[in-house]
Amino acid sequence: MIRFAVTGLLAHWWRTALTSLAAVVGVGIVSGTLIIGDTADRLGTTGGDDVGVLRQVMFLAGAVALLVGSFIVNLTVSVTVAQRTRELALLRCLGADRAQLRRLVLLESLMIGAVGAAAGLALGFGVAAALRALVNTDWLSGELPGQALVLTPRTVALALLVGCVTAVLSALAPAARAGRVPPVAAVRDLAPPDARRRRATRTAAGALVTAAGLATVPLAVASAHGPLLIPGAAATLVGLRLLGPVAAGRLARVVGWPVERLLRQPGQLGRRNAVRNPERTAATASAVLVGPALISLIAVLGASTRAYIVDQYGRYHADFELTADAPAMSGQPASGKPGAADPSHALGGDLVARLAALPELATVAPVAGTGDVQVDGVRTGVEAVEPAALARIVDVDVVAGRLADVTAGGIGVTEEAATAHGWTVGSPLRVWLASGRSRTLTVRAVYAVDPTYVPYQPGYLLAPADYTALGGDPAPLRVFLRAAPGVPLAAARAAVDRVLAGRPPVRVEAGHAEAERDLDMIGRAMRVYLVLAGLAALVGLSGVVNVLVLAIAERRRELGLLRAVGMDRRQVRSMVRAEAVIMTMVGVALGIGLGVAFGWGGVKVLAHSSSPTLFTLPVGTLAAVAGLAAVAGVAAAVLPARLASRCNVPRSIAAE
Amino acid sequence: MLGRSTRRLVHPRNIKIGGKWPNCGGGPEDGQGWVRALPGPATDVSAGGAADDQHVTGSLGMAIVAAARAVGISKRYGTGAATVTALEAVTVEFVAGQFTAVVGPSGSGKSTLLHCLAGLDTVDEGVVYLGAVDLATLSDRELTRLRRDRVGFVFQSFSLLPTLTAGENLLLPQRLAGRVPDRDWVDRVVGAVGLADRLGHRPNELSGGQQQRLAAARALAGRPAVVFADEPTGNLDSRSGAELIGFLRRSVDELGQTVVLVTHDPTAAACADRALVLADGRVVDDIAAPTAEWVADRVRRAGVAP
Repeated sequence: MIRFAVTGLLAHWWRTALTSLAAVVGVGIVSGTLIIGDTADRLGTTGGDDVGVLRQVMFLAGAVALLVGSFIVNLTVSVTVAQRTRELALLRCLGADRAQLRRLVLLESLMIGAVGAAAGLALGFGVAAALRALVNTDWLSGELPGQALVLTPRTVALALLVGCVTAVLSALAPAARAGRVPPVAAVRDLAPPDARRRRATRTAAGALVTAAGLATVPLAVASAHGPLLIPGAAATLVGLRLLGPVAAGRLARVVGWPVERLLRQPGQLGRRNAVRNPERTAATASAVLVGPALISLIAVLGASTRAYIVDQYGRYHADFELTADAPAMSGQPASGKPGAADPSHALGGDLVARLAALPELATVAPVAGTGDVQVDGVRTGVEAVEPAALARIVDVDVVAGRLADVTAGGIGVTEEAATAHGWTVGSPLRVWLASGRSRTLTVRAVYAVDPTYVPYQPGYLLAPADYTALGGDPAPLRVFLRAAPGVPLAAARAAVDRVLAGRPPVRVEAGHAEAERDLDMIGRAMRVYLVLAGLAALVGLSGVVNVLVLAIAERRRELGLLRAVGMDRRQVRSMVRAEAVIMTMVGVALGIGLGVAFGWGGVKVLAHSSSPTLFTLPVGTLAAVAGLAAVAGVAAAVLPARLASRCNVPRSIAAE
Repeated sequence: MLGRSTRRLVHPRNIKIGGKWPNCGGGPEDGQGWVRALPGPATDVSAGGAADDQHVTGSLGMAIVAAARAVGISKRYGTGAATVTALEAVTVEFVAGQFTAVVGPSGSGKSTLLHCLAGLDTVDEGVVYLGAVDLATLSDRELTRLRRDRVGFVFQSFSLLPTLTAGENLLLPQRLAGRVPDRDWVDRVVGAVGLADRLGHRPNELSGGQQQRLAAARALAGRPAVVFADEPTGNLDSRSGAELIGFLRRSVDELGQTVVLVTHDPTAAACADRALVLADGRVVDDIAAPTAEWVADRVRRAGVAP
């Protein structure tokens, strides 16, 4: 039996190799992660939390790649079993029982998995090297010196186990189907079973499950319960798989239309070929769609997070922010005698006046402030800035009263504090400073404060006059600057630097530097995730190659006939390419749709979380995904098209 | 003629038997290559001989066990108006050690009869016995075992697994059964089909005739109770076909096997001990020692008559 399976696999070695590719990427990611972990352990440097997080992300990515791989193994083995019906039936005639046929199919899959796992282990070294490079960048700031990567027996065992288990599990259903092949199929073409009723049931079930899965999106948004999206996505995948033969056929017709227009007769044949086995097209599409779905999901989440940050920074107009080199706004009492040792005084003295005198600057907004304050018995800190200057630096989201009214005798409070203490505009608040002096101030403005991203938002806001009268240190903690209209930022910066020269150290930060840092961080994270999702997409694409190669083996005679009636090799290749592009695009279209739907849900759920988002459709990225998918479809067709065009005319017609 | 030239080399009893089939034209005239005498009498030639002395219609009064028997079997395909009756109340018996040809025009149900007898297909009515066993009472596993151990098949095409060598194909049923093949017996069978030096080759390196002879040898390698051959010469040229039929003939004469051959070739049918003529799913004739002319004529008339 083993011998038989081996000879069968060797006889179709290229098919075996293609199928085992399905397991390679997943095993590669998993084993690469294990290798880098072991290497870190051996070196005694853990690489910090970064490696831990990285490990989680990588194992997740590996699991996704293995999932897609298992779709492909399932698909390939299913098609192979269907194509080998006569051979299996012959074995039944010769005395093989059902269990033997099942075992044969499973054994073949086991070997496919083992081959894939071995290749994946080799790939794992590459993955590990790439990971090490990633960890050593300043971004993750881990330290994994460039020493030999460590391969432990545990890694080898796990890689083999993962590859084999994936392959065998994916082959269970086709193996059961192989066992059900009746012996009489060896001598007679079986009438195809009456599938119409079963298909109707299946379509109904698929529609129901898909609807249920998609329904989790509005449900999750309404209940702000994000984890609901995960079973929702899984249900939608299952539902689409059930709907597949119906949905994929229709979608292929739509997607195929432009292809047919473009490629004429070969395009038309390609389109027909893509829809003639809807079950197979559906299975291929569901393997393909995972990658683009993840890519779209990541793109939507990333773009929405960026959009939020950009939106928030749209409210912040400072070009530069000056801070004393050591943080002063730490809530420590700013009491004690003013002296040169107090770093907050780096911004004191005549600095503000000299900056204000610069013609390059339009606005100079010094913000003084101190901790150790009591407002109506609430211990807190206050800030003091001219409301007019503040308004030129940041758009404060005032919900009641007017910011401009926070002049002497007035106080501005956050909406949060106002709600907590029942203050409204007009409420009198008693304010004590550490100096022991106190004054009753009236609430003149209440404003909403966003917990994230906006670089500066006021807390308790006093007019500078009241603040100094209460004994607060007038030296500013930060100074916000805005260049005059028409003055280049570099010129403004040079002018500021001239003023600062020879004074105690002051940190100057470009206005949107923080935003850029955040955006850059998000961009990097997105790139890593996109590369991982791209790997899943690549695995999915190998499914297209697989199916086409199998289909071409099946259509030898037909291809010979087409060649005989005058189709040239170029046209044959064009036909296969059309089919590949259509199959890929069906999966990609579904994937983008799913990714956007669940991305929207995720964005809406996150909208008011600690990492808020603003829903944005990354049209450019999605268009690029679709465009790349078309190119990838063409690339996937290279090998099958070559096989098809090489087909020998007389021999393939005479075959069988 | 194959029959005479080889029979002379083997057991005297077979010479007597062989004389009864003057029509049989199997085997090359020049006695080349593959036609070798079997090294000695088969162990149960006597059984074949005994059966031979009975009349082919197999009167149940004699102590003969039928190798296969169908009692009132019917088989229909499709449903409603599209129903096609492939077999209609067929009762027939195949005596052990005999070579029976089943002939008839296309669509007469001859292949269906074979499939039902072999347990490849189920019947809608009636009972099929293989030996003394009622096939309907068997589970799939038991039926598989029965096929494996008691039945040999030769199909029209695709009888061999392309990925296995000839030798591996030959022993596949035994391997599937987890049995150690009887080397002596296998060597004799292989020698008889003249493929001893081809066992390392893949099926696609063998000629069509060699492939079918290999399939026939495989059918015999497990010493089955019955060999069912379904149009085994259908894809062969006439000489290769004659060689194959000659081999089946000798397997009955010299190895004591039981062969049921479905064919549309009157010359092949003429090599059999007995011919069953089917038309429209019924047995319309059943004669011993058919001649090619008689078979051709009978089939033509069956095909014309509605």
